[in-house]
Amino acid sequence: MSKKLMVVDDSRIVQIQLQKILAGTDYEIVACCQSGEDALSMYDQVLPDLVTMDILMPGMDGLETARMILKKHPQARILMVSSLAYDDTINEATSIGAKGFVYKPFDKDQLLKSLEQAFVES
Amino acid sequence: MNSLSQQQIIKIIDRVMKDITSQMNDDLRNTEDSISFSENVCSICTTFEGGYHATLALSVDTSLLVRLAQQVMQEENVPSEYLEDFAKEYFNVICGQIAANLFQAANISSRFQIPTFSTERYKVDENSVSQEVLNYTSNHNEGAQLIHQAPLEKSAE
Repeated sequence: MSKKLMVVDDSRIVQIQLQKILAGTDYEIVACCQSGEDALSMYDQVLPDLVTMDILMPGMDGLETARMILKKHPQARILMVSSLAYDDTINEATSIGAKGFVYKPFDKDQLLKSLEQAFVES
Repeated sequence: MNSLSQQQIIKIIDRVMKDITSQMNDDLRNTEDSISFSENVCSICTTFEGGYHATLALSVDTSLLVRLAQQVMQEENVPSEYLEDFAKEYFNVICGQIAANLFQAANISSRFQIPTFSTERYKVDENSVSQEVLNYTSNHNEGAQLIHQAPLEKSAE
């Protein structure tokens, strides 16, 4: 059975990229959200197996959104996908409870490896 | 916290610009000549905050953006409504890598605002800032220009 993913990214380009990369894999994108606020309500509706989360978004940023999802759903798997890839941000994401960090621009191998790792670790 | 000179920052920005574009399967080379843009130019702009204060703006021939978008999206036809999205994402990745490189080089922690997009070339405010301009040409002779504007006193600490 495929694993349900929810993509949170304000860029439709990233959503399309992820859909193309994940086509034919064990992962199925069941929801895409362009803001943290949308993600909070959508999470309850689709209860995904994993969320890919951008950081820099209009309104609530990805770190705050991840924090709020994990507060309500401590078992949630969240994989940060961002270009803000440096120690401060990675440490904050880890302390919140994110399962990993994928650096933009990403390729198929990097993404699949990180997804696999996120499921192994939890 | 350490600091970087303006020239060191510009060197980082230049390297990131070329690296990210190269990862999207296109190449940019520096040019000292003045840029001759086509009629269709877009620009994207953001402001860095935190340990690094500067405005960074990219003007680029639209045809170059379209080609990069085709490669990233693996689509022959990129709908025009996606071009703004792509331009902002491209610049977002560049700025994120600049922030990461500043942190690695000198422990400078910075963030940047969500990039804004325009279908015109970036217009320089020549009054209150020091400015560096990086000009590029693609393999298809398209132009790109990065403008770095920093406060006069210091740009990173």
